[in-house]
Amino acid sequence: MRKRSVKNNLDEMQEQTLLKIESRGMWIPFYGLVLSIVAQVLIGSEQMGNAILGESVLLLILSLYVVISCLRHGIWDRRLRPTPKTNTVVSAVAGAVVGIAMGIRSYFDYHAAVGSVGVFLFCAGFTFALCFAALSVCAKLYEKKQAQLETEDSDTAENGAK
Amino acid sequence: MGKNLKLKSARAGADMTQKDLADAVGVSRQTVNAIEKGEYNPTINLCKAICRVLGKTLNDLFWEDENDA
Repeated sequence: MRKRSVKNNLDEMQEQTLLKIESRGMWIPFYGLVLSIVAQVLIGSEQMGNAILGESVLLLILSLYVVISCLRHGIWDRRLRPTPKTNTVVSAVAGAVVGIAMGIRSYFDYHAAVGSVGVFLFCAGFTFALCFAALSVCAKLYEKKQAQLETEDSDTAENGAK
Repeated sequence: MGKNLKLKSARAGADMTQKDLADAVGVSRQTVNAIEKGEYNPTINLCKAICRVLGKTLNDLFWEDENDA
């Protein structure tokens, strides 16, 4: 069966511009979903779990796609390095955000300051541990992929030189 | 990135408008305009296509001395 190719109407600069627009466009729904979930947690309702289910699934799919694609291509981040120190800081920030949101929610629900602090500590600690574990696993996979890509490149170069 | 006056001058020397050059190399006029204004770094393939159309070398049109950069 012949493969039908559709003519690209864009030249290389327009193609690059479109890619930039699309990549920026990706972050709008990403942060929109994060804000939507945080806002619904803060506002709260008896059906909160069901309310944020759709957003959570979509955010999970989006995040998994970005993480898996980056790891497959040996890409980590533009500025951050996958070091234990950086992973600790990033996990701490994530833990603090989730802990504060859940702590505030708990205070509005039960008006118990000590209980809210407990919720904050539990949620922050749990999120920190989960993020740190996930980042550590991803960092290992990234380093493994990097090493593989480096070897592949040098093999190709050597074969090409022969 | 500075303006590419060498390209602009070579295009004018060949009596071509930005649209003529764009059509000859298969890109839009805005891309040729962006290259001349130094707002877009073309790929090596586009550089070669421009050089062929204008009868110049890559050095003639795209090499910058330290003083030019």
